Amino acid sequence: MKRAARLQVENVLRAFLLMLFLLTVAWVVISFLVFGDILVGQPLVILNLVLAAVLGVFFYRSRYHEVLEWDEEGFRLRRGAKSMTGRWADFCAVGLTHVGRGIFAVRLYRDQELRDCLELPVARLGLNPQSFRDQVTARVVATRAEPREAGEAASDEQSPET
Amino acid sequence: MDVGEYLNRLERNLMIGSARWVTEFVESFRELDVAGVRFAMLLRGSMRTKGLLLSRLFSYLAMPNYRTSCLVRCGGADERSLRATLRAAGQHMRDHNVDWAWVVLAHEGPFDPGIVRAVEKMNAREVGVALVDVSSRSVLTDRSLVGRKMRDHVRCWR
Repeated sequence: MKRAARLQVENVLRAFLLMLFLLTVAWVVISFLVFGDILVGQPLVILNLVLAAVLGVFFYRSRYHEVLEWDEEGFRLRRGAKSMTGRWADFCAVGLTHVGRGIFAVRLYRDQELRDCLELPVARLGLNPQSFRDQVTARVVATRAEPREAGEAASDEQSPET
Repeated sequence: MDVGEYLNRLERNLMIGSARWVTEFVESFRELDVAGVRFAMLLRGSMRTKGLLLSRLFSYLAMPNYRTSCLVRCGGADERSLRATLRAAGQHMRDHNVDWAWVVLAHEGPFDPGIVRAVEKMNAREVGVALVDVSSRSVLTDRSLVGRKMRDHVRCWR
């Protein structure tokens, strides 16, 4: 099974800044309630930064970090704590979509009308979007051709009897 | 350059390259069947660009909300193939409410004189047709405004 995962610096920074903000607000409230004043000092700032970094990494891993694993049969996409799996045979069309700022994703469509889709963020995972799309298209076409060929073979076997 | 490489370059140029000045193609499909005709590539988009606040506001106020498509077919270099392609493109435009479309026929080698004459005569308002000879790197488009506009964007050799 192939695997792709990449540290998303933008989301790491977002998680760090969010934690820093929350810790700062929490310290302001606690400090004011306990001491009647907002205590500020170099050790507190360093502690705040370290705690924000540690909590930020946990937050990033539980919410933003993406891992894509795939093989000939299907794929599994983990986004933070959530996970979703799919089989190539369940999809009928593959699209390459531009999500903005030159970033591409691959969309897998379940219907011929191209409405119901699932998005794989391949550029964020460090994969080449065009070549990944080509691989997936080949797999989707192959998995869709197999049942048809099997059906044709079955009908050929039945036809002499009928 | 072969047709496969040309398709990759064309796809990038249409989605994130110079064609964004005309329309924003947001999605691309490969090997898609439309009305019984297999297109090597099909892109869809609209003339309302995204961007940040100012570009989005300008786009909303100044640009028409037209849906656009680009259909690329490889191989067929005769007049019959052109007719089938245009019929399928028309069907696609009706089915998806597309306001105007670019049709590109990419081929390695010279086109049949019949198809060249047919494209030179064409002047459809909603469809622009380009014949791209990948081996000699020549591009021929029809006379319509849509056709003339696409000339620079399908010429992506570098």
